[in-house]
Amino acid sequence: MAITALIIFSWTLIGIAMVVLSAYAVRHYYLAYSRMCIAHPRETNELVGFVMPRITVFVPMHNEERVARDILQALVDCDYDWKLLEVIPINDRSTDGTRAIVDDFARRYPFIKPYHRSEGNGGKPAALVDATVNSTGEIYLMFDADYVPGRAVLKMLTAPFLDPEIGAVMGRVVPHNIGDSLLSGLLSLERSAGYQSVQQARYNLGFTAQFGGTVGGVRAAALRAVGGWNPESLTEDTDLTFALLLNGWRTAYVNRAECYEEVPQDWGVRRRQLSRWVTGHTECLHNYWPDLVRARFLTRGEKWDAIFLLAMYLTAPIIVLGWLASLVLFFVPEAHAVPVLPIAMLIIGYQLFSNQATFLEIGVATLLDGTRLRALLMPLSLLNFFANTGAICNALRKFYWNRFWGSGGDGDGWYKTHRTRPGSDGKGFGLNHTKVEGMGD
Amino acid sequence: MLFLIYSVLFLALFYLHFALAHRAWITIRGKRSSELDMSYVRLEDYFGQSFRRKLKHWLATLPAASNSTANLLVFHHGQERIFVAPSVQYPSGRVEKEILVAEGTFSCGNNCDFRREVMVHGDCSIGEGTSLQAIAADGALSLGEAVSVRRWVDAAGKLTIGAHSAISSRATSRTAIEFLPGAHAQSLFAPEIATEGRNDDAAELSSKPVTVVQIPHRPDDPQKAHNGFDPQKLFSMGGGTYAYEGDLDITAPLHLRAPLVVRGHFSCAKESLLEADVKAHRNITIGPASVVKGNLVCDGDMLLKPDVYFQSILQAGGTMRLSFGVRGLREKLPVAAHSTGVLTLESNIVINGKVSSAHRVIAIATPLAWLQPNPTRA
Amino acid sequence: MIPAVSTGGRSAQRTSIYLHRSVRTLPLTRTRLWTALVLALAIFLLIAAYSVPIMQVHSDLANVFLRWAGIPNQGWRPVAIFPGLEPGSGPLVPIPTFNQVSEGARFALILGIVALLIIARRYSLFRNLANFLIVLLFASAVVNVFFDTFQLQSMVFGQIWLRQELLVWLLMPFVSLLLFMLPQPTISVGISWMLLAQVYGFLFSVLRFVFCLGVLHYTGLLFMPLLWFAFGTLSDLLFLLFFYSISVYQASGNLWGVRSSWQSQL
Repeated sequence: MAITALIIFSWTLIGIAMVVLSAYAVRHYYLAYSRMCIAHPRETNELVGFVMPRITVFVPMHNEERVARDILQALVDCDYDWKLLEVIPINDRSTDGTRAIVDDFARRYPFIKPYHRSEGNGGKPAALVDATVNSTGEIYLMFDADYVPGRAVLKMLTAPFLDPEIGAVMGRVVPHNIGDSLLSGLLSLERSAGYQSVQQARYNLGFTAQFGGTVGGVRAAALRAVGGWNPESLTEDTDLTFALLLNGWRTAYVNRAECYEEVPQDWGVRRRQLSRWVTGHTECLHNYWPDLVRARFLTRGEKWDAIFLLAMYLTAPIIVLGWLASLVLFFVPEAHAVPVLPIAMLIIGYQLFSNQATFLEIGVATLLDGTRLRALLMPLSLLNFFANTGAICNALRKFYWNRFWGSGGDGDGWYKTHRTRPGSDGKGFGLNHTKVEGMGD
Repeated sequence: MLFLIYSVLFLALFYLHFALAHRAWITIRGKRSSELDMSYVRLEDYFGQSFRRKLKHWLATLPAASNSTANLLVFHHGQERIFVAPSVQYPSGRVEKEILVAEGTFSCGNNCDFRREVMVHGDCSIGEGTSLQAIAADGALSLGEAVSVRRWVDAAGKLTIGAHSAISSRATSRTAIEFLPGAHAQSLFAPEIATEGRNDDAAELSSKPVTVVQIPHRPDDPQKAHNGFDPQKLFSMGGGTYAYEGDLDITAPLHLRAPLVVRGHFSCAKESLLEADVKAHRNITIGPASVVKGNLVCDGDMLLKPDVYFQSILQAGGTMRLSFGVRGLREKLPVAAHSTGVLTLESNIVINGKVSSAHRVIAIATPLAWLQPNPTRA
Repeated sequence: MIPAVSTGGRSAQRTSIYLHRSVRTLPLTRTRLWTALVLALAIFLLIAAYSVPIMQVHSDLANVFLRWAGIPNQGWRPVAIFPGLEPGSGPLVPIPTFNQVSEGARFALILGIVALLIIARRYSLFRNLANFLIVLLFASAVVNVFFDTFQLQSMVFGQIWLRQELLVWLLMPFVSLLLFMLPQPTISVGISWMLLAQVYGFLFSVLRFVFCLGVLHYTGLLFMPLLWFAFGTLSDLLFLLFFYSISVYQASGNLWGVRSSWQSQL
């Protein structure tokens, strides 16, 4: 009796895993193929330079003396009309030389207006809340301090706002330090799949792109309409995406607005980053799913897409439960009976198709980008897959522990991502280029 | 022992699945990517300017070949040859396989074929049916009828694109472009783009419309549906922007005062005034002699009826048609119109800025029958 | 302000054309789609029609490798694969129960766990995978200690293996269709990848099967869950991924040789 119950329970878990993961796999295939085949991706590249509202660029900084000059110089060099540009470096309680660097730039360029913050809550959302008060732009653009925007990025990110339905816009982040560690190399594959394949596909299909809080922007009026930044959220960007969506505002994605970033090169940093994303996403899922289901402005497809996006991290524990259930069944001889062909086919089919789905997105992104050498790293992505699965499960365990039993667990707070780029004191882009053959040419 | 050997061989085979990844990683290790051009800025006349720059560099650095004469300098650039001559005149039917530079004027007869780029420092005239790779002119450039250009065209002076000519890529001018019926290109950019039959007489407006639909509606406006507008379907998105559920086909002149998102078709009657941006999830149709100050964006097709005056940007996910007499002008910034599908320009259109399509921009002559009776033009 | 025109101002500083690295689109032609579908269906039907001979070849090849690897096999017995399908054959390789397993094998299990612990500690990227493998080994040890009568006959193992692999061979054409055929710019190259994956999948299955039987013969069920996890469908996934990475590498090279696919865009 107990054995039968165990078998039924295990099969139920496997069944749930099959249904959920197959649904995600179908989504992955759909997105990858739609991205690959669509003849004219949705874009505003042809209109770059014709839309020139007044913009404010925020650069939150906390002890960023190594990289502060680079981003400020890059913003000075951008081809946006200085008369319509306001740059607000948010010096958030820095104890190093950040303040002096920012003030030096402010003296030389009148459109740079520093905001020095010495008190209040820590973290980017809280700093943005304070800095937004005195800004004058119709559009707010944001860059993390270690990012280096190219000269045309401000115009590219501004162009989609010609559409009154666009509340936010997201550019593409491109890892620069791909050779720092195997992890950073593998993360570059993950990022290209996330942006080149998934973000662009979702935007092409009419779903809202996801605002990432950097290399992006938001319409000031739309931000005010949804109550501003949520300083309580660990992922204020995801929170804003869905707050906007529920009010009828869309987020545009601009694949050409590319900006280098530094991806984590050691697993500790990556784990904390992932943990923050998992917590923020899942929090948003709990906060927004009832409103998303009821939302008047969204089609059924858009609702499903939004739920899929917010619930994506829940697939990790489902995968692990599926594995454990298979392990149990392996040790129960009664479960080795000859199965019905269609059911067995479903199980194997689900394993084959589901597991390959995410790699198809990587492959499509690599094909489109021409970063062919990195494509060869794909088999090693399996390591990243296992590493991510474990880290996500752990983050979810902490999240639900905190949610149901208060703050007994070690919850995640805001961590400043460790900077690996040495910076160049504003000379050039501060980017050390060692070209890898076949990767970008 | 045998199994040990088998195991070693098997595990070696298993490792081979990672071997290329391992090798790739060794190549990448310690390197940084360089896939982005950080100094990129978008220039509409980039192709022409880039070609001029490259040519100037070649002519300054390459030695003239020994077979050069006083009237024809020859330079070798790899497999290509560059011919430099003062003024050039080609008879009809000539085929030219070299890059050509005319220091003065340039003209050619009908049905010539230029298989490499042509650079003209003076005025230039291309005969009917001629085929070109690409051409840049520092003076005025006139393409005759049915000229085909495989790549781009750039002129510092006025550019005339003859009837039924075809340009596969961009056509740019720093002065003006005249785009004649039947011609097509992928994009046009100039301080002034005009189609044939230009007539700058102002459209005659009705004296005073009986009804004007206001969006957003005012407290004393009717709360029931009227003239195609149902106030109950209008919602605030916050930030001064409004959303309208379903199709919005307004039968009276519309005065739009706030940005509007229409979740369906949008159309407005003649002589409307759109002071703010409009987005429609399906098609947009703007009534004759309307004034559009805000941007128009739609996922479907866009039609601007005769004599519409726009001061903004138009973007259509489908096709776009600008009817007879449409004007696109504004201060300080040029205007732009872009569509994913075919963009059709009728007669008597003047646009200061850019017209482009992911498919192609074509000019047609407005059939006279369509203009009779003309409700808005004197 | 005039946008984006080279007037000699700040916006005219670009010195070379920015050939954007991205290909805008890889259109899916009807010919490619139909060729891929027909081919996938043809392979599927062929395998379905000849499943019994194919399984027999699998067993024959496995028999050869078992001999080469010095693993004693007392013969092959028919095993039911799926209802309605003629039976395949499973090997008769002696597999010791827990109380028959040698001390060396038990030591190898402990050594395996220790090695995985060291890997988990030293290489953070491997940590979660190593931890999961430790769980598998630990579960195996627990089951063996507390249920030392638990036995898995090699015939049953062969039966499970053939069931799984037959389904993989049947479904692989459709996975190949999505991974190799449709994204490939050249149809003939796509077809080659599809066929290569199919043949390699079959041979790789034989080699893995023999290796698992060998480990079973020498160490009993101690490493079985780990082997099943690592060399079961995960290995099918791995080799497909390996092939896929090469096919993307190659296709990407072809695309970048034919730049006109995106240069003609604005």
